Amino acid sequence: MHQRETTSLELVAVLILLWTGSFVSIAQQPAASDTFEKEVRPLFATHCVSCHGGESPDAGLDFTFARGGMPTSDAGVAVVDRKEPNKSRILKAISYADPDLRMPPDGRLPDAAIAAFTAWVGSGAYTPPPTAMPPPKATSRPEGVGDHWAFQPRSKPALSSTWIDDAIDIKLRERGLTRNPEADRRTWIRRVTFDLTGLPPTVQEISALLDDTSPDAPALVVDRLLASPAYGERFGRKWLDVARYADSNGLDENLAIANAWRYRDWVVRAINSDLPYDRFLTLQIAGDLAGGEGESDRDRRDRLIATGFLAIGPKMLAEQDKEKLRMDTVDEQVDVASKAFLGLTVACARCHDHKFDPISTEDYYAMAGVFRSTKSFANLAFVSRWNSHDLSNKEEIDARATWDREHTIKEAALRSAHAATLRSLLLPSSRLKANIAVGAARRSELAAHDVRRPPPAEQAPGVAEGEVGNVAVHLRGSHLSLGASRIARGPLALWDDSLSRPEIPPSSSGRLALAQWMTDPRHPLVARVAANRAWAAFFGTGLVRTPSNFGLRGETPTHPELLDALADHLVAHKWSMKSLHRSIVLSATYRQATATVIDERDPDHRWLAGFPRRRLDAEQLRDAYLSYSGELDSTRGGSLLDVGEGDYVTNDQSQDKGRYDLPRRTLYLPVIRNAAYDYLTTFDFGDPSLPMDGRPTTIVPAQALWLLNSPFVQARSSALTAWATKSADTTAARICALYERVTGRLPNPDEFRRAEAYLQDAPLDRFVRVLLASDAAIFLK
Amino acid sequence: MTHQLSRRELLRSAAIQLGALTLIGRTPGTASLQDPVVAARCLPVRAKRVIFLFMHGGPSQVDTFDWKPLLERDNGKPLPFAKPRVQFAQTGNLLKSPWKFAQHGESGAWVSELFPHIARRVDDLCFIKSLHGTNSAHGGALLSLHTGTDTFVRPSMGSWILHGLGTENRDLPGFITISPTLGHGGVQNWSSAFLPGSTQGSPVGRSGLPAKEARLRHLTDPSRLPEAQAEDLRLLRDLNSASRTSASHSPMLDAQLDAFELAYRMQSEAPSAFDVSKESVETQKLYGIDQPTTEDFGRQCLLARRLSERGVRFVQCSHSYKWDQHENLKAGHAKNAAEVDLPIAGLLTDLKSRDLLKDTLVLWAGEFGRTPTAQGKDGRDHNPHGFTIWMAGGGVKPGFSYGATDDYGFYATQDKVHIHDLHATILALLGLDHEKLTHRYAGRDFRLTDVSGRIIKETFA
Repeated sequence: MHQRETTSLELVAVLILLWTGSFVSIAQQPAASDTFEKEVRPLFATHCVSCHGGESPDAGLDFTFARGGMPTSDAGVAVVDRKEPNKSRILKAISYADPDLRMPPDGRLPDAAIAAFTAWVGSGAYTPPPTAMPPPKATSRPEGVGDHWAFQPRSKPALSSTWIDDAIDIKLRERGLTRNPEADRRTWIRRVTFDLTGLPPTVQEISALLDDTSPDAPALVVDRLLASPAYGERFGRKWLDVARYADSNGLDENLAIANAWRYRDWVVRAINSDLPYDRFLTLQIAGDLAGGEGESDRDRRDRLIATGFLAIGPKMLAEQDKEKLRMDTVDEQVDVASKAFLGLTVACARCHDHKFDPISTEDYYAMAGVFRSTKSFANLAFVSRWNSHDLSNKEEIDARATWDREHTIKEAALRSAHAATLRSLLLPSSRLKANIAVGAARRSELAAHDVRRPPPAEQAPGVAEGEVGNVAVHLRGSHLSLGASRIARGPLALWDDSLSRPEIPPSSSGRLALAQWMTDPRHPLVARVAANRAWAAFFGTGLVRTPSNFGLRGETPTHPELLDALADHLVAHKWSMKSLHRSIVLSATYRQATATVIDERDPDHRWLAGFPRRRLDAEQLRDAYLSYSGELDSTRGGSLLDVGEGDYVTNDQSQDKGRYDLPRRTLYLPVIRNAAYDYLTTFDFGDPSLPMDGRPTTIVPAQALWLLNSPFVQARSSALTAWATKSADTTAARICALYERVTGRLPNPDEFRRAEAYLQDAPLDRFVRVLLASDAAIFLK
Repeated sequence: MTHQLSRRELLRSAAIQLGALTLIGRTPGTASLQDPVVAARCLPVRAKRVIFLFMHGGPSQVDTFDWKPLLERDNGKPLPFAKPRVQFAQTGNLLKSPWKFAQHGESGAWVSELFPHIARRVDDLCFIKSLHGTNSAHGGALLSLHTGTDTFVRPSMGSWILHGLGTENRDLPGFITISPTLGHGGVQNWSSAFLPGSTQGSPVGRSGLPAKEARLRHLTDPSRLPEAQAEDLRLLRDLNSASRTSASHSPMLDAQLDAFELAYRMQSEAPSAFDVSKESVETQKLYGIDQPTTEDFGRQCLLARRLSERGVRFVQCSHSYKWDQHENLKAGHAKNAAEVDLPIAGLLTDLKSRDLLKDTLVLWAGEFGRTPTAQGKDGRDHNPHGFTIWMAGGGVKPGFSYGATDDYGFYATQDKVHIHDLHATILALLGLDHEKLTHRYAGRDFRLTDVSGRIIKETFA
């Protein structure tokens, strides 16, 4: 905002705004303004307002005339001399008669223009009335798709068999660079195993690859990894970053979203089953509306669970202005959906037109109308509650109803038996005994029935259709000042020329239509955004380094043709992510050796003249340590948060009810907003209240303290030491075994010598601790 | 050891001076005039560091510093004007303060009998009696005060300040929050959000745990002696250099090793910084550490001084969630005030005698004030519409009061100060222009003060 550059685009925008303004004025002042608007204002707009306009016009002279009247300079000099018009300063300036006062400074105006100005001054120098709106500001916001790369249709590059490497090599050659040679197989299998599954390769897996000399051995490894359930855990977690997944609400009232884990587990399942990305998107926006004929019960449940994407955002549940709560929730949904799928910051247009992208407040409120027509709350009580789906199928509902009915009958039978017993107290004892026996029988029937009680309905946070309607523009984002008319709900208008605008039935929120619009294969953004996220998973950064912002303020891609090719590959292969991932990890670009020198032509490895080294992320690091020590519990799914739905997970006493001490994969540890597990935040996990735009890698002392001193590392280190002691007899053998297990390779002679020297005086445990913290262990190369 | 020394020299590189040992966001040599952080440092520096005394729960302005004679006169009568559109709970008629007010010091500031010790320091204080926000629930109000917004997730004030100024002590974190609450926004109140992770507040202890047990995490490893740790660090350095090929160079690997060495130094520096028992008996007494009532907050305040003295930019002490007297106002506020009064006065005295007050900004605030109208018979509801905070030291005008509420202390009326204005003012006191201290995220430049903020220059000395 502070470093705005004036571009020709900006000037064009100013002109467009000025023209728009002029038509308003004409309507108001037909006679006097006609000449001004037609002949004079365009001259000001073309020649003057780039300096004498905008937020701080030069000399204080604003020739957009937005404030009405003739502007006076900061120095107090009048532009027009009303008494002697011919001596007006403006005419002197444009005449170029005075060498110290020549305007415009870059060249004298054409005679016709000077004549028009002179006539205008001579006839009384009419100025338009002030516009009701604030003065139009110079802005770089284009009116339509303009020429911004990401808003154009994808190019259709012809694909050779080495299309990824070709695209990378072209750019490398342009810079006089070359790709590195292929990494050795040990390096590659460690890299690809961590990247595809988040776990290190076992020593056996490494040996198997080394022994298999056939050329398709790497492809077989990749197929094995893609089929592993750990693949979904790795890429599931990546998606959960984007989906700002958490097990608690955060914000003001930190209640447990105790069933959010069903959404997390669905994400993992969906990715493992290679659910096509368009379907993956659709279910998260409109799963409740996307059922099909003859679907399985599992599919039906999954559809409902997937809408958790829209339901698990942080909400100000104790906000007492409930309409504000609802609109803030809508805003959060617009924000997460547009960033995640469109790579656009649509939520910027809540209070004003987007400053940089062609997204108007009308666009925002069209999309907001879709989510305002969606049921996101179960109630709006003092502390409100998010909406949940009952996942029961018909049989389960019927079973519970049947059980309830029989329970009522059996209870009634027991009550009447009791009554009969009471009445028979005065009757002969035989009757009494008989009635007591009947009562006992009824009681045991009821007890037997109670044992057969069907389990309670399973719930999952999710959204449903709500009160359907359009919303008006909220002036400055406030629900207390609404614009005059309601905006028809639906997707952005930006591509109305190229994408068909879906029909939204009057009774529908429009979520399904929104999803259909997004998954149109011609949509310029959706496939590109998804492909870019896929690329970033393997190279640390995307081809576009702002994965959730493909707008004008986002970065441009380093390799636009490659990005389009990746996106096309995704769409052409039925939106299969596995297929895309497979192509990337088998490319020579991915298989090349790590960059070891800093080349000024590729300082941050964006051109990929070498594989960019990365530190293991929080999940990889913790899961790897548990794998090395042999303690990893690979149980999949479920909740580690032992609290009820809606219970407080943090409160005034700051109790934290999450459990983090189980040796499960890090993905399954609770994610408590406002109190995220400190290990995770130390290692750049980020704030789970926000859609994460790729994680940064920070290197801070708190991480080093954890690696040096944490009880977690101490415990893993002890277990690993015990393993090494048991599996090898000599110090030399132990060093080699530990190195191979932890770094995927054997120690080089130098490392070996230093380790051996150290172990002459120190216990093995201390060496293990150092090894676990060493570069070879915590970096991926 | 010579090798270690040369590494120490390396550690004095520009990146470390800026306090951000991060690879992304602040790489060495990238600071330039275009860097918003550098551009923002354009105002006169009046304060170098901040101690924020946070009174969680919402202390009542009309029972502490905002004396309202008409409230006393009209006790029991209805409020003669409208209550806010959105209220947290329903309140009844006016309720006079149970405490007597008197004027103190040369400035003649009114202070209730709740704060006899602070009353003796009023000539150091600069009151703002017209603060206002919008959110009447704790969570939203805490987030507003700490991050400038109750709608979005944004970096905290301490993170912005550390981001803007960098750290002065390479051996300690630059932003430390003592005994913070995990509720009402929790970590978001000291979160760096999209700023570099190194600007995140480091919590020590938490609300509910005694301040005596407040420690940085993983600071020590009792199983290894310091000598052994030094040996291990040497082995780590040896293995790392052995794993590199001769020509290889990686700033990331260098930064990683630097982080280990800084962590190692923190292990020796931090325990002594956190050890208040090193202070003299008189000093401990000054903070009330010798008395059970004041022991806990006294420790926090003394710790704050020790950390500030060592160059920590932003230290927050939290008197956690105690001031929320919807009922039992008399007993509750009396107890709370007794817990903090002496320690705060002690902190001010101590800072002044060490000549630290002149460039340390002390801020005292709750997330909102309370209603002059009664909730029940002996309680007051939340009131974000007009409340009192004070600042001291760090270039503020001592013995001064700015702004006012209406006759009953419900709404800020005169010289209103929004929370954005307070933030703008705090940044300005630190020499930072709140409009220039921006950070690009998701394509937009963000500020602590969003698009608002008026610097209240009237409060400057």
